[in-house]
Amino acid sequence: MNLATAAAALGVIALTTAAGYLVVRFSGPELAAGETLGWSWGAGMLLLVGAYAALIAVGARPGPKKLGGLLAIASIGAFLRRSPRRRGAGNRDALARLFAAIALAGCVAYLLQAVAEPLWSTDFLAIWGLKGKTIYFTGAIPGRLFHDPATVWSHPEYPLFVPLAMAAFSAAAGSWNDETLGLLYAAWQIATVLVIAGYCRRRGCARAGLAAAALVAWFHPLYRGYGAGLADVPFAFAAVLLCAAAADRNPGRAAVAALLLVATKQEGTLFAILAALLLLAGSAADRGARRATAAVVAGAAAAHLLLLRALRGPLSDRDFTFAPLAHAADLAARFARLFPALAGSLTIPLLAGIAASAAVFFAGRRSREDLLLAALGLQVSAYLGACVLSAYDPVWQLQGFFRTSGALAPAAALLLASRVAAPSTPAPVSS
Amino acid sequence: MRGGGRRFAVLALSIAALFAAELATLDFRDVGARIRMALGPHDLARDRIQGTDFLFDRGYGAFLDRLARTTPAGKPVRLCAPRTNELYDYAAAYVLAPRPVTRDAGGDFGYRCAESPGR
Repeated sequence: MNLATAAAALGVIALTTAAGYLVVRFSGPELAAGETLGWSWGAGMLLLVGAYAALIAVGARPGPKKLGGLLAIASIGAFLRRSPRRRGAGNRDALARLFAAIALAGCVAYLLQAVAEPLWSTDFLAIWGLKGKTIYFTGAIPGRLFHDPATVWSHPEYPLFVPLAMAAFSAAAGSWNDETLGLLYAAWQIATVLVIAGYCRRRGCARAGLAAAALVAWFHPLYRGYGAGLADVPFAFAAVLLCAAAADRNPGRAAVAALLLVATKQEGTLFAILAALLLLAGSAADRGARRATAAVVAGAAAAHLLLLRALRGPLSDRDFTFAPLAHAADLAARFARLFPALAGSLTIPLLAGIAASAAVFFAGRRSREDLLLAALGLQVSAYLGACVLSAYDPVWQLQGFFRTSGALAPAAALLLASRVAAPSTPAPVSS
Repeated sequence: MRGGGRRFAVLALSIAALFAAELATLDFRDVGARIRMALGPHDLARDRIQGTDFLFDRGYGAFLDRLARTTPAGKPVRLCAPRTNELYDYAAAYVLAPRPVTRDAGGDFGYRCAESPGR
């Protein structure tokens, strides 16, 4: 990418973040500065995609002037009134600064990997990039994205946030550029890291948050060249946002997070439902705030499903089949094939990572975030169940299992670090 | 050792183990190569043809690039290409987007295709 395209893309990122602040500033005063930036990026992307979708729905060709103008208006609105002072609890000692430096280095390393060459991963070409490029150049969401037998492998049933985000970002920047799109992924990673560090700092331990941020920034299974162009990186971001908002029992931010989550990947709907159910099932304390947050999350999931249904009609999933559930012998054979293969896939680094995470869990304190850890555990179990119900081969589906589970690692890091950061006496939750 | 000290030791060891596990999964050669690519000169079309996309067949990348430059954006493309690798489908659909691409043994455009005249 040349300097002009990079500058335009960075300008869109800055303007989108500023516009997103309009939503975030009214969601409560408790966010730390880094968290505010991360949340503003997420909310800003929703605004950008929403504005882009609205413009193409009315037949207006979205471009830098229209989208830039809308974002600029939202940005001005965001900064019109003086913000309340941000809270920044937690000390920053030498170790915390070291973790911050490691996290920063991880973000720079991923940024350079993401923009090294035009986005190239198979799923970018076949799914996300194909749809995004088609939407961008046609200025519409053509029906053939859902019903063309020639591109049935492009998964017409997948949600549309990532293709729309690519198209909207390109339209605002003035061109579709396969390398510049890598900046979008770097921004998602940086926002993820900022939210993790800021959330734990707010919970009382900057060091724990920065350690988690450093580990996440260098989490190579997710943040590597191949991952740029896929939905896993924005999904990981949305999962972190949902966990943070649900732990805060903040319905406003939960709405932003849930919309991002369910519109990014199909499994986002499952996670949203699990989080909502577990919020409802908690103890009597802060029941009202938990119910409100759960209602917003479930509502966002339902609204998204209805919107997709209206847009493209019923579509079946090609990846999975429920037929084995009716044949016990087939089901047993699938389990018998899957579990030895799963055991054979467990590498020493993976086992060490799981064991160390378990040690962090047990060294932490009971906290309000624990119910979300339970939701993550159920989500991973569901992924494993999905392997058994693969329409292809359960063992082949294992690759997908590790990739999709890896996208939950940043959320797990946030929740585990929160157990470490949690005060010994429970703090009141915000509402 | 007191409870607080033991807790700190467990956490320190766990975080060190997590960093070690991450280091073990890092592909330093790939990361280094990509960082060098990022810092080098860029040309979008050349980068795609010479990049990871077309490791499976660089000639196909040049063929699709020519086709994208010479075909109107709205025109559907009937293409004949090898069926040995699904990447032939994916790459054609992406590089030629927004043109609808159909695979056809007697297509208007052919690449290593016995049935088509090829262009």
